[in-house]
Amino acid sequence: MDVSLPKQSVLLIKKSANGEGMPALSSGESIKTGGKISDAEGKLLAYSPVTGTVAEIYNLPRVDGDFTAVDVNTSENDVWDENCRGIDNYFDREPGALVSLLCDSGFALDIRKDERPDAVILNCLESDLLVSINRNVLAEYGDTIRRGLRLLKRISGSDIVIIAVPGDLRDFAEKVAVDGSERIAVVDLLKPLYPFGMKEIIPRALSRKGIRRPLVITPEYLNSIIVFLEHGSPPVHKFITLIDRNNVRINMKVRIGTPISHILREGNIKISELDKLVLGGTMRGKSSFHAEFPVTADIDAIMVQDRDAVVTLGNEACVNCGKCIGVCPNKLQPHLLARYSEFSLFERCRDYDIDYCIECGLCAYVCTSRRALVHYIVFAKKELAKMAKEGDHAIESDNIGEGLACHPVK
Amino acid sequence: MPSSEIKYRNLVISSAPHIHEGRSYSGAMYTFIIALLPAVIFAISRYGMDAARVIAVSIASAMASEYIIQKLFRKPVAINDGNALLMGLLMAFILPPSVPWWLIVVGCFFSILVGKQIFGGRGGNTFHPVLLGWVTLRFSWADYINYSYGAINYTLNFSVEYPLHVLKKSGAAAVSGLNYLDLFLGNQVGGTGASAVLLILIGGLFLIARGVISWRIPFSYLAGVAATASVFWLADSAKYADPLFHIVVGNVMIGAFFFATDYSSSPANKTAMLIFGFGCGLFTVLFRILSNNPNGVFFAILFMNILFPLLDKIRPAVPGKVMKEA
Ligand code: SF4
Ligand code: SF4
Repeated sequence: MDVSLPKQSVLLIKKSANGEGMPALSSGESIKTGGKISDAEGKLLAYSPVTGTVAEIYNLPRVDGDFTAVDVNTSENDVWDENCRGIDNYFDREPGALVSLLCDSGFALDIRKDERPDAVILNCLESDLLVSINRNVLAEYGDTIRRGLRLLKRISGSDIVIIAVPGDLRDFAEKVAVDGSERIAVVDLLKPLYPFGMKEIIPRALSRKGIRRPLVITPEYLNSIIVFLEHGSPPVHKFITLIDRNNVRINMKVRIGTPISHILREGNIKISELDKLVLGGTMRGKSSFHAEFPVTADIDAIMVQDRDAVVTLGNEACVNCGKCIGVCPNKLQPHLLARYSEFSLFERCRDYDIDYCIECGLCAYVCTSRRALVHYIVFAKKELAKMAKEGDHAIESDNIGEGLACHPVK
Repeated sequence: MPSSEIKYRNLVISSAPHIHEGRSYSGAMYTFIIALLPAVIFAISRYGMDAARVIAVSIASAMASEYIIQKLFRKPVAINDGNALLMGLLMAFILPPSVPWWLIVVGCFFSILVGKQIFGGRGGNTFHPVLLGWVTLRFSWADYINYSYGAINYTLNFSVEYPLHVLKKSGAAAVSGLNYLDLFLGNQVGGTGASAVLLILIGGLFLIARGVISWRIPFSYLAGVAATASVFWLADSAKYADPLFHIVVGNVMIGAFFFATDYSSSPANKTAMLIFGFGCGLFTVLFRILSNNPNGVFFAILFMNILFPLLDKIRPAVPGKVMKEA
């Protein structure tokens, strides 16, 4: 289902730690779909997802950080920015140049010269429970994705290309894997189990072992790269799964920046006091205290949970039952991490490999004492990051492959 | 989006995940209790009102102790989480049916106070609370909780001597005539409920099937008993009883499935669980054979309770880490 354009869109731009992320825009300025939005120094921050006039620019905190929000009064006359032009013969360009071009254009592609990926994995599993985006994109945009895999094979310099799909998508995957008479990828059938679809886990779920530094990409993201190269149009749409309180799901194609309230209206979902609105799926989604947040590229699902279905995770004492250890995909000690975090012993969390926690949520899902384990762990991670920043300014993150907040960063 | 326009206020905020598999601590406690019910019926049918009395007094005093202590310590009262009820039931199960009521009260009070609340309440105990209570009784009023003396007043269709006492006094030959199947079916003196070995085993398997406990501790426990007893038995079968005897008599079954598996006083890591269980089994037999006191099970578990935090340091390698470092 395609969601109609809202009257007002909100573009979110993530602020970096040093306060960057302020677009050089002013109220009343008109922008066109796909147009670049840069800061005063000309650094690309985002692409405009709609055509219209800028109404207001302000700060907007979200659970995962601070954003600059740009309200745009959308025009019904949706026109593409004239600078959106495809790249001729992009396939034949020098790989390094193509990678830098994509990175400069805001795509997160983790291909470095010094450390080439040893495999390309097309991850057609889903990032969370109840989400069903990737499978639909694979089925619908097979041809584009095949071209995408060819391109990735070339620019990554890796011979191994694996399409990881749940068993029922085998036929679609085989069609994508073979180009004419040439096979460009192997198809690996996986059980559609959570959290196999997380990029950290999927290399281990494959039947091919020994992959150490894979380039993991979703069909949706690969599709948007190819569309960008061929037509010059940056990703302004996002596929999402709308999940209502009875777990009935609708897949939607939404313009980025569309307020969630608009989507709920179109999906005919009502939400009332004490219900929960989750941006994302059941295991990893972030809850939101109102429905005016816009869709961003990192949201795969919107879920409304009935007030009666809301589970409360708290701070009851851990009873040391070991369930959380048993389910942790990274074999961590979630009970200890949470306990150290609870008592502000963040350094101890590091001793217990807190950095390897991928926040899959499984530990809290099974916890006998219903402790908010992930909450504690995330808190400790934030505190450790703060401490690291205060302690050592020399550690600057490498920007390659960071991507823009308005892009499907996976 | 001026804030006056924000619709849908008062939504609930919480961290992920937004679902839970549905089990809870009190659910686990009540599952433990359900698993013990067949043995409760067995005990009452065998020892009549005496068993009912022991069980009732024990549960009542454990729950009352929990209530009073939580009030005194100004903690939230949580007697309906099932833990105190379970502790009371377990205490009743390992005391003989003839035990005087005041002894039960003392034992339960001690279990809850010293065993549980002083360690910080739920989740804090390093020892099994009931076993700490039992040790107190054992050193203060050993005769009252002696299984052989306890059974003297009943007409039973089997020997009123606790098989482990017989073994201790008269050696392996004296117990070789016993029918193990009979013992296994519960025809032996012992704790009020703990002697129903078969029913305890069924209850334990039920716990594993329900996912309340892991199979690792109970089965490695039984393996530990079997292995250690075999070593002695193979060395001198005239002097030492065979492994099967050690498994079917006394408190091994209830120890393995219901005491050693106590969440807070046993390890949480898988390998550590195996070592812990095996260690319990090993020391059970060693205590039975080498000490004067044939109740090896409880001392062995208490002993391993001391070691478990150390064992829990054995944790698996982090796969992502291995991958990056390789
Ligand atoms: S969220 Fe919990 S289960 Fe998942 S990786 Fe982190 S500690 Fe492990
Ligand atoms: S599942 Fe919960 S109660 Fe059990 S060990 Fe982990 S944190 Fe503790």
